[in-house]
Amino acid sequence: MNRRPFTPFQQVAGWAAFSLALNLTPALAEEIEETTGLADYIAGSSEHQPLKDYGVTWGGWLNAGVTANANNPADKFNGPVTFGDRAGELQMNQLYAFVQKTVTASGDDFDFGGRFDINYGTDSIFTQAYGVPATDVRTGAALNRGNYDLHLTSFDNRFYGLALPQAYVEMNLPVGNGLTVKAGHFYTPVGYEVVTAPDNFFYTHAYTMQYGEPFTHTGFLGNYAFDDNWSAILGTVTGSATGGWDGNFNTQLNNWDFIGGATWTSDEKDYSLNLTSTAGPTSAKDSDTWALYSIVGKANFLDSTLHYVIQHDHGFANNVITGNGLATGAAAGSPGSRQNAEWYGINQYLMYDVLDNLGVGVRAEWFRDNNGFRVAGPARCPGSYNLSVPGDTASGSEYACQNTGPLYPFKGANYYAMTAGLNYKPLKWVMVRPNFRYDFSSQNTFMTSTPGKFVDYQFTFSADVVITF
Amino acid sequence: MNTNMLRLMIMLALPGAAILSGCTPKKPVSSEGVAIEKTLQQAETDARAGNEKKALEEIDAAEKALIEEDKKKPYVQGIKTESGINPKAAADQDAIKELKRAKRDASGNLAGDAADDIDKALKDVKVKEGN
Repeated sequence: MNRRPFTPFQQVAGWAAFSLALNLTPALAEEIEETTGLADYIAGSSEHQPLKDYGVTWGGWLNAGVTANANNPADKFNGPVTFGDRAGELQMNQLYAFVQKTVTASGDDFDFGGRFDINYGTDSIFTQAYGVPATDVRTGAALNRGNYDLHLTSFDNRFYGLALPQAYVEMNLPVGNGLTVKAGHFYTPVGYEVVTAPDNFFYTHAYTMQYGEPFTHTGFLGNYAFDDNWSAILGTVTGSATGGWDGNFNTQLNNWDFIGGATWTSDEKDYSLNLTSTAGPTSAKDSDTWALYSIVGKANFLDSTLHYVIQHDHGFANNVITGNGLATGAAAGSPGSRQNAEWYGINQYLMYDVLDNLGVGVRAEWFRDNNGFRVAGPARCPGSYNLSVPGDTASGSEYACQNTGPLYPFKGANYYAMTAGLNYKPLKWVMVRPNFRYDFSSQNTFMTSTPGKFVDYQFTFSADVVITF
Repeated sequence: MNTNMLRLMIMLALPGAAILSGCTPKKPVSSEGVAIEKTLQQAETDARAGNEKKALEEIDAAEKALIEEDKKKPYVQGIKTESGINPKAAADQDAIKELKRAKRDASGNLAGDAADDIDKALKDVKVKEGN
């Protein structure tokens, strides 16, 4: 008898449920309350960290969520909203693990360490080293995208894949207060929201994080604390044809870009202000400037129970093919199709700790993609597009989208998003995050239940759970 | 062997070797850290005994000592907080947050809640001192 094969999510969920059932039976309720992670609980202690006394630790989590979309989009994508990008489908966003040896910054001794992260799930495509796009942003010519973590499992599944967002070594140089230097592939220090699911208040993400900033870099990054209020980062990044963003290890290595920034923090940690920037040539063959600055301010009030965050980003990419340029009728790559693109926005967050384990929060955002260069839905499609890999068709069909149609809106537009939600931790290692979100755009960006018919608004309700190991 | 899997194994092996080569036994807790932990242990004992006033003084002293320790031994404080990446900064910020809540609870005659807050702060301080 034929049976429908289990999806990757069903396989992992089934395995996890079986393992849990075997191990949890004799446990006491108070142990569940006290343990800080699922692995702690199953092991009955922190013995699952055998090298902890040597500074080597590991961690991980399972993050899964679902989104209901009032537009009932025909293509089942939540427009340009990524991470939780599928409407009415349960997604295992992250089955994530990391191992690390943290480095102690000190003016006295050398210290060595590093970190390696791996993710399996539907979020992988958004944090792979995709900084070399399928086609050159200036000429439209096909590019070699590199093969660090792109396509490790692609073509097998439209949505589930592997990503290796961090793989770096780090050392402390005993100068001054201690200078730590990372070398390898690491998360960006730019911005506020992060890829790692347990570290965001909301399940959904701001446009700024999705489209306005890099996710990772490949190169070198130094960190130095001048005093307890001021610290700075400085580095150089490579492997990218998008200004040092999301670089890999084996292409575009003769293109190097600047990354740097500074952070001020008050004595009692209630206030902080951060400025970071990337800047430099777009790619190895294109010396036009690609740059970004990001400013993030944070403030805590009412005995650190009320948290406010404001962020402003502004990005620039000179002489690139844009949606607005193509809308003039110019051929892709011709001078008429190219513009100096800009994108910028402001997003604000207000979060209140009602209880130790319950927070409520709102996020309000305006983001402008001035030239139709950054925002494109479904973002999974260009992410999977690769003209240089055998197996992909010559016409460039994206494995994640299977030619569901053109990207949208691919025009300059304003995007507004209001999000309200809860962050509830029934246990220290379990987090549940329901949130309502209303998106509005100055272009018809959001697909309706009629294929190819778009409206300028979208209302979604999503909820996810994060189980920390 | 599948070239993708080979690539994955190499990516795992390189940082793995670097991480393990850097393994050294943990450094001992500093004298400042030991003093802060003792102060917090005493504050928790006093809070559990219902002596909010004394606990409040000790919480205040521990908070000042934490800030003073940061002045003597500054560390990099970024804005972003990926899990585990900067455990010292995360633990220090959490400790100070818990101490603020402990002060609020002790001032509001909620000694039991204050003791719980102090206990959480103490755990955070131990993590901070271990990094």
